[in-house]
Amino acid sequence: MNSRKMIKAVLSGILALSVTGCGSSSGNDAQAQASAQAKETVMNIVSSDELSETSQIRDTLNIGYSSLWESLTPFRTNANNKNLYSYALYETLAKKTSEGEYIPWTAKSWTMHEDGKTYDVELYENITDSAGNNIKADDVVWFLNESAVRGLKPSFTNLDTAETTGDYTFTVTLKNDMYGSWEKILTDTFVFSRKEFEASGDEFAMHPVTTSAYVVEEYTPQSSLKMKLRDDYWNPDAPAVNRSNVREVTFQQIAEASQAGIAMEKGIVDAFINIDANTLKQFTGDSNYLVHKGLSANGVQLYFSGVDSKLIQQDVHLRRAIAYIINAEAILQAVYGGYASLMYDVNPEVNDGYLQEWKNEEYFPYDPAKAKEELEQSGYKGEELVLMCSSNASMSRMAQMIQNNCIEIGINIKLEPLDNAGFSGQRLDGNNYDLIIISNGADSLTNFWNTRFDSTTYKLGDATSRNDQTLTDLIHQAGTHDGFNQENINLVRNYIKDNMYGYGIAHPQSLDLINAGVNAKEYVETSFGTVDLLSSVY
Amino acid sequence: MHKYIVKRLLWMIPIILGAAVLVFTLMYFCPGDPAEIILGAGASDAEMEHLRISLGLNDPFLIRLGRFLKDTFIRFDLGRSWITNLSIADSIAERLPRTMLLAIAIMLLSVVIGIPLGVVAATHQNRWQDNLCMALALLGVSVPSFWLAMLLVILFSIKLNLLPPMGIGGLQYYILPALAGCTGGIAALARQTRSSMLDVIRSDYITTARSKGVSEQKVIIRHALKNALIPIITIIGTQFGRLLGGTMILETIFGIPGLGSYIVTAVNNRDYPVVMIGSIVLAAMFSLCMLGVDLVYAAVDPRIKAQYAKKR
Repeated sequence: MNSRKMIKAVLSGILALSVTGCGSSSGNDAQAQASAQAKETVMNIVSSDELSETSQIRDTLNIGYSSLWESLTPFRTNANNKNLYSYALYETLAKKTSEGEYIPWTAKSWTMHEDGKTYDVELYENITDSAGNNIKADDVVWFLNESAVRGLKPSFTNLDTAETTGDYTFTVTLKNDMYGSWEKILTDTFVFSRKEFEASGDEFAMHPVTTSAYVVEEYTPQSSLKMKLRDDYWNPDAPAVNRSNVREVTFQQIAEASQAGIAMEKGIVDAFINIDANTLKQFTGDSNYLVHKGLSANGVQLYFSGVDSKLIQQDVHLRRAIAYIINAEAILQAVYGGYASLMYDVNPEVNDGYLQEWKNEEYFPYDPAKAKEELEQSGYKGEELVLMCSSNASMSRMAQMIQNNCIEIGINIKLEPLDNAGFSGQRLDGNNYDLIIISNGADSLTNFWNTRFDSTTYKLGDATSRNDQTLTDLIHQAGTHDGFNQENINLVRNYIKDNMYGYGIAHPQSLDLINAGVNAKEYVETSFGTVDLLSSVY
Repeated sequence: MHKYIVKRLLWMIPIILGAAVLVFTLMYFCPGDPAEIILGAGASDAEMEHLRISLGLNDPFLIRLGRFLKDTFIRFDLGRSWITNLSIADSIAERLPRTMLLAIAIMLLSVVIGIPLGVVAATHQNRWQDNLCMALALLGVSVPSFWLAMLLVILFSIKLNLLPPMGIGGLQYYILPALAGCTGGIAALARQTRSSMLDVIRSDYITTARSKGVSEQKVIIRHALKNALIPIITIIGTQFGRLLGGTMILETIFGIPGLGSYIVTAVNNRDYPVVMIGSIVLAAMFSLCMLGVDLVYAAVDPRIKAQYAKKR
């Protein structure tokens, strides 16, 4: 065999191997999705109030995540905040159920003053941490004030002061009467001993003294977190919806999507939370696995620069033309493999206050004729518009599809994908782009509007550098406890929709894959769309 | 010889300082606001400004550079990560052994497979053995490690159930990553060994050895290979140095929390202190590797040893 033939043979071998490798992960998508639907019905998901009061304690459970916290410190940003292990580490003042109800947890009760911004809170007196310390109001007040100073989480932006009024009572004063602001504080306030925190030397980064039902057994950053049920948990008769029914749980970080599938297949993990849609497909139709589909906290939206000198800000017809030409249905299939739903507003539907009636209204369906009509009314003359997005695979693909859609009616789009840091650094300055794709969410409409469209929030205006006082006033008016009503909500929503300041493209699903051997009698969901395997009934 | 080593170690100081200044400057001009990355999408401008002030991000370049150099090289305080608040020294100490183990395993496989392949290719020049070895070397350079990694996992973990597909624990967890990562090294060493051996085996002293009736095996191993080792050692040293910071893809695929993934994650998060200290550690390790290479030169070649002695 001469060398040329040999090289040909080797190359053929490589090609054959690659084709074989690729083929194994593909399949009949329609069939797979139909099977997924069938599997979903097999899972016995019950609502929080229907969950059985008694459960066996399951011995062990291994749960996969694509990323774990890089440190266990309770002073964290919002990044990667919605997960099972954070609530298995630190107790909060209240817990939110999947139905949106707030259950008092370490807070025995709270009352709001008439001003809508002062709250009196009473703590349970028997809260203890894993080192045996009794948690008092001082500990919580210190965390609240420290959080406001550190400014890590937007939840505490509206916090003015917190003051102790007794051993187990304290008062919290907010800067503004804002609907949803207190509820964010209730669920984001981690309860722990200040003394232990300060004595730890690393701010609980590696070995936190927990107040939850679990203690940390072993933690390796970027690898695994092993936790064990406490024998001396202060709240053994907790409501079933947040009771801990697993004795030993290990959360394992598996960053690579195909390895997540292998870990499930090999039984290295019993479940994988928020699994990649493409990895999930290899398990659909397999009776050994259950698929849980929930709505994630974030939607994916297209926003338009609000810088006054930009054509895109000056021309509502151009913005509406773009909204009409985006084929969101195609994006759902191509980018999310069908595991996403259409949006009917720039707000994701899981936000508190979202009106279901919006789903009955027309929301910029793919309509080239209407898009052309809008474009003809605009002053657009073929200028190049910059579309900025994160450089990850799904966002880049979505941007390419939008670019192609826009070409159909002659809108010239230049893509500017950026890495995570570059994107974060430029997204709040509307001078850097004309259009931007962002994945956004919040717990309530008011928090969402405040973060995205309130012109007083950022140095240059709103999150796209827009300065629209009318909209800001409407947001403030709808944001108070008295003002948060259907009429005001619709005023804000319709203003944003009519002016097309942002367009909801897709609402991805949160996908969990569970080994059928986990065999919970009843599964319960978290408030952030995933299945809660710790509180499920075994 | 000792004086030479001390001199080389002293030379590392300006090298590391230069690396520190270079990395700091690159990170300074890199787009992306750490405050915004740390606080996330929902933070207000006031919160971000507060964090920028507390991290000293608003200070001029020279003040920040001076503070960094003073903390690192005078106070020996490597600092804490902006993102995790964990001690960088502790994090590196925890992760470095995993990366070292992986790098050593990759290098061992590369040496054990690559050098014999090169020797066989050289001793059978232009015959089918040579072509086969060089085709394998070409394949080794061309095969992406992430693709090979997945094939190895499918074969050894799923089909044969022999090795764990991911995670950390015993040595068995490093076998697949090492196999996936060694192909490039094998290829480079095979090609370099072939080339060096071809230069050497045409030398007069090889002909002399053969004419004296020394067995072919002895000629190749004791006379030819030993004299061809210098460029091979250079390749081994540089490959090893590169591996210490370049195993990020393998670490991600196989779930190994090592130094490579630590630094790359820090770059993506604009976690400046981690990137800078991590880079300094890598620069120091690379310098040490190069020093090790020079010392091995002396061990295998008496002429070089004599030169070192003369410099004394």
